[in-house]
Amino acid sequence: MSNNNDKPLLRVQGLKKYFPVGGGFLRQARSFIHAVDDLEFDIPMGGSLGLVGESGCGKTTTGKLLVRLHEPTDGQIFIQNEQGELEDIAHRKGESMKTFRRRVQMIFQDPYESLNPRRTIYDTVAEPLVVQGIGTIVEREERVAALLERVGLTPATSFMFRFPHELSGGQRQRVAIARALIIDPVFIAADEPTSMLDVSIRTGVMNLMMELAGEMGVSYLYITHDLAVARYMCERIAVMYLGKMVERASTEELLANPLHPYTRALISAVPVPDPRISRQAIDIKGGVSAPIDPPPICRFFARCPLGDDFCENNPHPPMEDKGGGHYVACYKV
Amino acid sequence: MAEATPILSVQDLVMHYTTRKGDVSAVDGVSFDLENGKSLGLVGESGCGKTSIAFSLMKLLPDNAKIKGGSIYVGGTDILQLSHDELLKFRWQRIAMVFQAAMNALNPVYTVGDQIIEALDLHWGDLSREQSRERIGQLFEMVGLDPKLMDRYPHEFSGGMRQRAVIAMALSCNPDIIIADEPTTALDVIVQDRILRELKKIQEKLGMSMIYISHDIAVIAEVSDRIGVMYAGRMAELADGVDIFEHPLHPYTYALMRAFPSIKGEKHELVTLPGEPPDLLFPPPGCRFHPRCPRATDVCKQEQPPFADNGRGHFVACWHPMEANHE
Amino acid sequence: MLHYLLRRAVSGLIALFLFLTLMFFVSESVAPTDFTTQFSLLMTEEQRAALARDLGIDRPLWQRYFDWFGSLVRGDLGFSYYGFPVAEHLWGLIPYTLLVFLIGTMIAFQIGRWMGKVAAWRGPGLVNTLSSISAIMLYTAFPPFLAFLVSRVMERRLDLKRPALGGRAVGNVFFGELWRSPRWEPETVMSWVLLTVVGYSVLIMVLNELLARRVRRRMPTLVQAAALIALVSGTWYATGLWPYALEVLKVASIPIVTFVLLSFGETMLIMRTSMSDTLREDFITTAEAKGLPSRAIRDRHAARTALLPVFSRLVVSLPYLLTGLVILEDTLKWPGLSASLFNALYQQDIPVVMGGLVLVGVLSAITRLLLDVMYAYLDPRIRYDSGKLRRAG
Repeated sequence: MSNNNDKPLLRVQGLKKYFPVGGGFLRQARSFIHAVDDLEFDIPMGGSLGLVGESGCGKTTTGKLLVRLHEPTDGQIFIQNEQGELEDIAHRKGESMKTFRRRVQMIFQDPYESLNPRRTIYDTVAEPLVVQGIGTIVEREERVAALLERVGLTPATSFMFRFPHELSGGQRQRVAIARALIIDPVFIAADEPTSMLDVSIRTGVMNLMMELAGEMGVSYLYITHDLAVARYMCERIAVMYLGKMVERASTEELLANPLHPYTRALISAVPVPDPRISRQAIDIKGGVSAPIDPPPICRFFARCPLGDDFCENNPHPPMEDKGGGHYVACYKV
Repeated sequence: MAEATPILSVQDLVMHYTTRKGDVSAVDGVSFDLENGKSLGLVGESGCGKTSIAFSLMKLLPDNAKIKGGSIYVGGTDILQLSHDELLKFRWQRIAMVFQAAMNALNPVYTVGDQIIEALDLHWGDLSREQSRERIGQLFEMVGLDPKLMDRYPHEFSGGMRQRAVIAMALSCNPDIIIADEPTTALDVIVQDRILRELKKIQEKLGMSMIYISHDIAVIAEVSDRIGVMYAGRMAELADGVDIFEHPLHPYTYALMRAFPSIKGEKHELVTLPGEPPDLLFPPPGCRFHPRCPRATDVCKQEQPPFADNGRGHFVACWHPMEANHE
Repeated sequence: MLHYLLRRAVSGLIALFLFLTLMFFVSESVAPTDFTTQFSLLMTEEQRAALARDLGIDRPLWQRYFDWFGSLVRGDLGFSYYGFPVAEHLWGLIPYTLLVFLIGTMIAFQIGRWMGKVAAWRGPGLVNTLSSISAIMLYTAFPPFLAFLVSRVMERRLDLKRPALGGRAVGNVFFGELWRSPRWEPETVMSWVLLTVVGYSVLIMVLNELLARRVRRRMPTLVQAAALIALVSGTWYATGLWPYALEVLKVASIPIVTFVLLSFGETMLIMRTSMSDTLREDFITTAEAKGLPSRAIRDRHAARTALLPVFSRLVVSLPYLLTGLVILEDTLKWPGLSASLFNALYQQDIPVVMGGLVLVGVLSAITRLLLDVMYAYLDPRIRYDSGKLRRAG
């Protein structure tokens, strides 16, 4: 694998995804959900970014955009190609997408839905190899077996020809990880891969993902609603609110010194698994609504404890570096 | 330990589900007390029996479930001995429940207010319509909902609002005990936080007793005076909240606490337990945790450890509790 | 709400217009020119031309289309190829069809709903198996055969004199003393029977809803049924309609019973599935936890909510019910709209066919609209936002 450490592995610029609301046959939609609105971030080679936010904030859409399961409405997604150059794949189609597909993969939330119930574990894991035309049958089988062993499904031979319903949730998610890693991708978008698993199993899957990513030099975007999980899994964390990224910093910096009022409220609301630690609650008013044709001002304005006339009369604040790569989108900090 | 008589006392509860493959031993010899005005948190992974216990407490069991033994005393009466009619009177008046996944806990074709009125009609039959509506107004205010919303349908509520409505419904007949089964699982953190705080406030104000049930040890830690850790149908450990965090005695409790990441304190390695929880169709003999336990010895494989008080009301069911090397 | 209704009505009209246009061209394309009933083989060229001119089928297609639509808008359905005015002819048949269709559907729906409810509530067992098997058998039965069986059994019991089954001719079905010099014609009696039954049913439904709102109690189904019977028969008695209505119902009972037997199975099967699903919902557990007695859980929570898919299915299957009715009316020689339509097709009497299609189209459009409104009332999740039907939640 070529390495070029000056350049990021992945660079996103002005990424937008709008979904039409209420349109139909012969009828133009009049409203749009601004699911992802003007995102800008890098993921370094071998790095990891946690994407955190409440339901409906656009984090899953972002993940799907990065692996091009959605086509962006606007913006660029640069990813290093095999020669180490940044290539924009935001609007790629056809054959050139196939080489790109080889470099990025996605892991989904629900291990019960993401595996085809009629295909054996071997078929599922080997599928990317088949699609990409990599290796002979024997080589594929060896590769799948080795990877299954590596993700903890041992002995691989006893798992390869079973069906998903014969596996537990944790084992299925391991299969999903194996499927994602089989073609040596450089980047994986993982959408809440452990949120449906029980604790004692979840930890194993989380550790496995981190180990493998380290071993294979894979960068990942880890999408989660759980800040504690993001802290454990990622070097950097980005917080999203209604389609906008509001804050991005290294994990410990963000947790110790959150700047955006939304991040602060979010962090203060996370329960702590220890009754000896008492939290100080910061409450913000109201609730999350869908960003349908939002006004051009700060998305958080309606719920913000700091908002004032300036915020109300200016566009959504840009992401600004407050030092040491701690970016925040707020006029008031 | 208990100076006052407990409002709820569960003794040696055994419950099975009959399936085509055989009996599933979902709850096996669970005992605990709940003191008046206190809260108890039951924590454990899916299939550990925590929800089965909750449903047993109201005798709300599916047809294939059988309570094989034990007793459940609520304020002196064993509810397992109640007749069907007595049971109908008992439900909601003495023990009410806040259900998981608030979306489906409310019937979509009736207004939220009407569904609360239904409970009031049943148990406080002498209320006029105006009195009932006034009562619902008070309840709505108590849980932080606008009383004007009582004539709306559940689908017009957001997830958090629905959960509040379900709480208001649970409070409607002034029950002695409220069971909250995963009350905030489907909600976002900020809403979860608000609802947990409000539940706590209401509990203090009304002097109710609460049983919280959750898979999330963090949620349980926030709201419970006492915490019971369940594993594979048995109570592994039961103690005061702080006690259990300071001196976890059961290896499973210890592992569970180390398996949860936290945003506070030092970042630590998360502990992984080997294997998966047992199939309760064929529970392992002896201690049900022994196949996954790092401290297991021969005795664990053969004999079930007693659920014994290790002092200060700290119960544990383990042949080799952790205390010695943890302190 | 009004906006929504208007929108539905307009889209119904457009659909009706498209349907009729299509039907016009399809049926005109098979219009008689040669070897058909009206044109005998023995006719000369001139005779044919004269007949075509008489029937008005010598003009170009588009002209006939506009003429036909023009008179349709004025309520004129033209003349049959056999010379009688179509509108008048069909108008007299509507009561026959509606009597069987409306009363049959009402009864079938109630029976199916009730059986489905009980079967699902009881769970697997003998009752469930038996009722399912009989429902499926009746639902899938060959309609003419079922009609034959029903009429064999019922004719003896009711001592009815009816025209023989088979053959094409559809004629009078009302014989006997009463109809020698009746105060009312059978059609009039039928219309009144329909009006009273449907009217009082709606009245009782509305009363029930008001009652539920005011005192939070509903009438039990049996009380509702008793009230309906009392009101209907009281009215008949008071107006002197009694013997006639009874006689009409007696004769109509065979097609009604056959129709009910054929169509309740669908409702029952859907209701059973829907009810079993509903019984697994969390709100049923909530209702139990509240301490509600099982009857209230079954009827107020489970059955009421389970009704929604059954109802929406009914809306969809209406056209099939009407189609089924065609076969029934024809087999049983019931002189309704459908049988007449069938006959007109045989005789290639295009004006009557088109008139019949207009009526069937209008009827199903109206019933559909009514059912839509009722469905929207039953399911509060249906909103009329910007006049568009949307299901939320």
